[in-house]
Amino acid sequence: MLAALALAARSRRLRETRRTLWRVAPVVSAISLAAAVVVRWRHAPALIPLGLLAAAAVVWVLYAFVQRRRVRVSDATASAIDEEAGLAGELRSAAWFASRDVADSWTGLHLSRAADRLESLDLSHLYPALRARRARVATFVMAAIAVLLVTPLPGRPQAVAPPPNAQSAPPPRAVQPIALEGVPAELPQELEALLTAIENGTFAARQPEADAAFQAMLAQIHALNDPRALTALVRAMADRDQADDSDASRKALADRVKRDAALTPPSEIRDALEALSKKLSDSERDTDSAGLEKSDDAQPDQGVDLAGTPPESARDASAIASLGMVTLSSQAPADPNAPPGVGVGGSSSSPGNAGTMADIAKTLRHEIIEANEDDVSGNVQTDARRKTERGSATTTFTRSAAASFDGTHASAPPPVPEARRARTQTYFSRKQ
Amino acid sequence: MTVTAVAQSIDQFRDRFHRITQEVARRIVGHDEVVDGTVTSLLAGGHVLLEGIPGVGKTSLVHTLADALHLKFSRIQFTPDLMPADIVGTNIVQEQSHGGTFFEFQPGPIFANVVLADEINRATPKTQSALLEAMQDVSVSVGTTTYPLEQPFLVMATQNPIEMEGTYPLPEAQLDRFFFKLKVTYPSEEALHEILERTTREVDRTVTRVVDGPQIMEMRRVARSVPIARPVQGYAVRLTLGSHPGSPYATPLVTRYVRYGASPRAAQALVLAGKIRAINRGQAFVSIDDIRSAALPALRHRILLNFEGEADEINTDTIVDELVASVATE
Repeated sequence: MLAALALAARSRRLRETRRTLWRVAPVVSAISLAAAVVVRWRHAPALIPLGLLAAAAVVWVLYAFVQRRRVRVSDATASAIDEEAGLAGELRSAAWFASRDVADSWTGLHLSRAADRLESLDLSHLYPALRARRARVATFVMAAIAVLLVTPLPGRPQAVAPPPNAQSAPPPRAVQPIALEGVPAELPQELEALLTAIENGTFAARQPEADAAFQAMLAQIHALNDPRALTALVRAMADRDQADDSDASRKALADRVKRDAALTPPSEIRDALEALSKKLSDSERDTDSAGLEKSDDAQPDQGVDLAGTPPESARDASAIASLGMVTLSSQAPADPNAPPGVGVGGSSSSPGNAGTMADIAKTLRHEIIEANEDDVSGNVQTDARRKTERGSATTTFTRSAAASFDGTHASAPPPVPEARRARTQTYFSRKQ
Repeated sequence: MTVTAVAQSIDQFRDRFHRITQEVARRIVGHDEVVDGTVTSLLAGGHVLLEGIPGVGKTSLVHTLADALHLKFSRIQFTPDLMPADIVGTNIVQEQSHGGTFFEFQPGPIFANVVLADEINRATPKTQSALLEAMQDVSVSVGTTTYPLEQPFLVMATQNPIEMEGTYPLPEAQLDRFFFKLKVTYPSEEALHEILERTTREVDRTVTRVVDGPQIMEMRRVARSVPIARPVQGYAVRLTLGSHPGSPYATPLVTRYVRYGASPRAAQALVLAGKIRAINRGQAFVSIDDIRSAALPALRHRILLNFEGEADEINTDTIVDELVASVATE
């Protein structure tokens, strides 16, 4: 009885397994095909669709193997077979008694009858083999197409179509080699190629981490600390129209490197680009400072030319001016006989005065640099922010307990005058 | 007992059951389900409450069944002035031949195998309660003496659901002692034709006595021998528990309208009725459908509605139907 029931349960389980597998297989194949199309389109590694197909095949085999093993027939399974075979509950009841090993003439009769009915069942008719022809064809066709899409075939021109932005994107610009000791001459060209690849969107397909030469280039970028090397790099990678303006070239390169780093997913490359951008920005500030000092030295009596400050510092002109005034006010007492100069400090050429133009320029430089890094929403506190954030407001909320009514202080309402009493009494009465 | 003997006893049971219902059907038309339920109650050792409008054949059914069984039959017409002693009997004073007196117990009409309690809800609760001991313990106590009743003992009570003036609804304890509550509905057009054919002509409507007391007792024993698997019994238990408002198996209707659910007697009735139905199908096992078929007559009178249910005129049949439809079979 139990053996026949287990056989029926196995047939049913296999049919359910096949049904499930052939319901899922076309879906998995379709997903693999879609992945293959995307891979071919986006230059992604072919491992994705092939791995998906391989994993699905492994799961398929494992699931089929697990479902083929012999398991104890549960009451739910016996009930399902009973219902599908139209045995009116006999199989379910018999399965329970058979599993309990009850020795009783009534149970014996029940089990023998159930076994006879179960053996008379044609399991191949009850659980016919599932053909699923359309599912099979669809699965195999889609899987084959997926494999063909990602398989490089000999003689096939450019198996992977270039992305649309890559077709319209310009090739890497020709840059000049660096003729500086300790810095590879081809570094500008390699850096330009990397930046162009990032900007064109073809960067991911190259798998740069696997390239030893590429790793070497990243190491060289990290090793670029010498200002001269940075200047040479900027000069080598500068546009022709900006070749004369080293500051503009440096800033443009720094901005470009920073922007491309942002386009790159977090990786070693992104770190290298961010580091390079920071170095370029820092060297740019140093250059600005040096320029200011040079101008001070060259024109000691002309004061600071605010109009000549870098454009990014112009937005903080008011801050600079106010800070400069504060600095000036802290200088040594002015000499009324001093020649005209900037502010009350007098001329920096006066040897007796501590507030020389160099000091003022130096102070202003620091303020310019600090003001350039200020952000109103970040590290700058305005008066309004201070008032609110420090909680110095004096307005507070008070809370008073509910007062109880004291009836002893209540007074009776004034009596209604006699003349109005009748009208008052009939005021709310409906007029007929 | 061998397997062959079991098979023979099943066939014999089916044959007797069929003969009883056939004999009843010679006089009663169109109430096959009620006849089956009544005979099932008899074979399960329970009692039946028949409810129906006047004239649909409740009393005739009981009379016919008593005629078909070779059993002692008595009828008690319940009225408001009926006293318990009128049912169970009383001690009367007798004179001895040599002088002196003594008390002698005069048995009431309850001392029979088949008792028809006609219009049982017209008697006072005190009189109705006189049946409690007889129905449960198959004995009656008068004074300090308990008198056993003869087996098989079957009380078949009838009540009229529409004439409620001057009636006393049966208390829950009394209702719970009825194995089945069967509703005798108005006959169909075809059945009405058949009734007219049989009753307005000179036709021999004599009912033969087909089964006697020992045979009924044997059938009771056979019915109780049918094995029932635990999952099927679990279904009967869930059905019973589901009629209680706080049960996890309770349906929305039960939760909203039921005050008290069915007692364990309901589960006993479900299983016993299921066993008898299984043998009638010729099977030696109880199926879910066997339990399901007994749910309505076994549960409908054991569910007590709350005020909201009474106010909304909810029928307990609706509640049982929902219960049967929603309680899981696994």
